[in-house]
Amino acid sequence: MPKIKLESIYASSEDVVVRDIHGETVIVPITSSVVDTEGAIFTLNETGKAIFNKLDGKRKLMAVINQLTEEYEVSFEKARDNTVGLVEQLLEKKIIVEKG
Amino acid sequence: MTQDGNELLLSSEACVDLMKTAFEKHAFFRMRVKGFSMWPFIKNRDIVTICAPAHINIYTGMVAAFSHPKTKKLIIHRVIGRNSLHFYIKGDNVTGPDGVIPMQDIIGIITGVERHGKKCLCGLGIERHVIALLSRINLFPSLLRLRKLPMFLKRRFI
Repeated sequence: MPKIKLESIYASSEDVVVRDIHGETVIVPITSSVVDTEGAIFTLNETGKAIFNKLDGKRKLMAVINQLTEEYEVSFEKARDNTVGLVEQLLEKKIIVEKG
Repeated sequence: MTQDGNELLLSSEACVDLMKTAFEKHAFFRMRVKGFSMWPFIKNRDIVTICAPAHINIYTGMVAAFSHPKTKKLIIHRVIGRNSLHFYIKGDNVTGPDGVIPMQDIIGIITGVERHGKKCLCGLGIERHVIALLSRINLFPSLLRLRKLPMFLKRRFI
């Protein structure tokens, strides 16, 4: 598992297609120049969507967690654990990249 | 297939949207098709690979993905004729044509067909010109009816 740094900035990879379909965020990786709906497709639930949408390549992960804590009125620890958990998975699948 | 192992059912609109986004990123699009309108060359649950139409000239015999002007449904059928502005498109196994489809409604061109994990080589090569011609005379729906004849006879007389 990649190591997640709260001071890092993360953003969606250029090699994915992200779309909102039937209320779900659907992410289809581009593999060998093919958007393959028969390959691995990732879907995000409401929590995942909220986190993913904030990974805009501009703010640090700590700022994302703080914003989630405020917006959804959850504890910092819960927001951090959910965010770090999702970022780990998305990084491993190369759906997001570390920008700095 | 999603990360949970579930099959994601995509509507026509979703497929069209994903397809157009793929083409914007200069990628091909691969999807599973439903239906029997292109039997025997594309069968139900075959996987097709689609490229952007701008990359190639579209000729009679090619199989095109388009959004039907009236129903807005994503359809994958064969070009059986064309003029400078429109295409005449028809499913190989359908008796009536889809009508006159404007060039701008063509979303993609099928470049490959896979069935049971293997590439299908029939229907997209040089033979496509002959197939387009035979499609115009509704050969394939007739063949499908003939194919069912032994079963019909068996039920009727045995």
